[in-house]
Amino acid sequence: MVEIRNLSKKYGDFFALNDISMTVEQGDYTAVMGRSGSGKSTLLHIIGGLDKATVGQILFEGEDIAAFSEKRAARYRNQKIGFVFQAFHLEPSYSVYKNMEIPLLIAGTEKEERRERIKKYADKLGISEKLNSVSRTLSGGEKQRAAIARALITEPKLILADEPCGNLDSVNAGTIMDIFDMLNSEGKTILLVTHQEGDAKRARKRIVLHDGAVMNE
Amino acid sequence: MNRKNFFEFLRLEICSAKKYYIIFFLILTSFFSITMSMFSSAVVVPAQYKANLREAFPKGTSLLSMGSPEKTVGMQEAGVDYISFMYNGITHNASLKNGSSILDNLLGEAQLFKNVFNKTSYMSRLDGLCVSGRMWSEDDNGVKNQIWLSKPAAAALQASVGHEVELTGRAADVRLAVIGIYEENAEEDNTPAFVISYGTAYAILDGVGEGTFFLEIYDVTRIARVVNELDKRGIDWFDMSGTVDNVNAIASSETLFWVLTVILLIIGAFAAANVLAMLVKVREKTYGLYKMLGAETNYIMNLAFSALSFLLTFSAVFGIFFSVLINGYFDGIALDLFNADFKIGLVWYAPVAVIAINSLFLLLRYFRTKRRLDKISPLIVLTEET
Repeated sequence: MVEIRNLSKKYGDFFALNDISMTVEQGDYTAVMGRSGSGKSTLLHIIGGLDKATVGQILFEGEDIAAFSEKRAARYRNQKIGFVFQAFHLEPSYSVYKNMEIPLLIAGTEKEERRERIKKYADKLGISEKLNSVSRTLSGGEKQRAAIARALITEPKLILADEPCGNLDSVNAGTIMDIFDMLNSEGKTILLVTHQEGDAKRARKRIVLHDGAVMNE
Repeated sequence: MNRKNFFEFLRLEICSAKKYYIIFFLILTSFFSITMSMFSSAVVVPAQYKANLREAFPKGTSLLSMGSPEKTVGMQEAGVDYISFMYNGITHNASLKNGSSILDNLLGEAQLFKNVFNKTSYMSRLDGLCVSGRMWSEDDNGVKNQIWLSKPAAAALQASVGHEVELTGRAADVRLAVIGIYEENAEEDNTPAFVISYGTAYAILDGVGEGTFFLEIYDVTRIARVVNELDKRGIDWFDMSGTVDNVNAIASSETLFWVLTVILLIIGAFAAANVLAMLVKVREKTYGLYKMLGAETNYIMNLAFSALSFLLTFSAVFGIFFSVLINGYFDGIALDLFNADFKIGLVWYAPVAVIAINSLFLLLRYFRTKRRLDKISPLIVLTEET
């Protein structure tokens, strides 16, 4: 599904990523580990089309995402990728419903279908009761479940999760990791960036980054 | 990207950023109402002053000045409608001859009138202002080498229409064809007189010396322009009606109003144009989030631009409403303080001009803001917790 070939990312003289090659297959659950500054988030951003590599190729279903136009890259982010971040990145003034609706509005989904999908994923993530709540009023666990629901709403092929439990207590973290397990069991491909050994153990495959290079696979 | 949900997204965007839109609405409405009021005042107040002045001087006004006729050449372009040049005694030695009949020294008290326009009919001038002088002449106007004789003059010379008479002047003798005989006004002295063209008068008199001008200005509000031109030419003048100061005061107030209007227009237009940039700045993170979730720059730009267009439209409507109130309020003040019956209201083209200029500035700003929006990375979302 994703094939990374000799990928490097340089900021000035500093290599955030140095000649990385790896593959993520359909249905994989891969954990990317490493210390802070090891380049794992940068790798995730580049795969998600949020950032550009300095050299190398990232093939998503055979297409090089570095060669995408702005329009194509936007569609790629909207249709193929679901992002989940440590800090949730919900629009604080919007309700959960509106937050989940944004990717569908951008995609041009019909109103009825939008309503159905929002209901479906809110039920799945256990936030149906919070749909009309403004997102800044939610607890951390609820925010992350809303963020995951938003990531799933366009039914993307790949979920990119960057330290999704970093801001959560152990109970909520466990719930969120259970959700990822469930999603993977349903066939979703997940790339999880974490520095928590326990979280990484849930993944089927682990990659350790050190100073921008793959140390262990 | 599918655009069918654009207006739903726009509604979401406006509702979610309403605090910014309310602030921008208040700023723009203030600018619109003040600018439209000032614009209308700049048009209406001086116009009302001018109308009052015209009403007070329905027949126009005059300036008195000294100099030779050459100095007045082209004064009509500065707003003069009629120039009378008076010089007594310029034709002392002029005499008219027709065969043995001679009229000598009949022009000792002559006045020379010069109409700067050639539109008035010959006869109407004869029946009007010009018969009061002993000798009246005008611009050539096709009557050079022709002469009108008063009835006593024609009788004395035994001349009738079609005859030729000789006019002896200080500098030259000319032969002139009699083209008409007129009766003097009954109230006038019934001595022999004649009418020749201005050019003919010049020819026989070898030019004229310094005399007195009456510069008549039918529209009193043009007097300031005339005075300005006289000053430029170094000609002393005397304001017989005392209106120059009034007209200058009106002109100054008009200038002040327009300067303020233009300043407000430009400041307002810059404000409106910058609201778009400010909107992108304050919504930077949200727009970054939209990008991360798959929105293109053009989509977001159109979203911001459409939102602002709605905002501008509402601000303009409220601006019109408030400017009517403001001007109505000042009408009341003027009535109370100066007993002046003011009706400033709102001239219809003030909103049109204000909205057009603001829209133009906004359009110019569009591309610059788009470049700025282009530079917003989806990664901006990650810089701080939202």
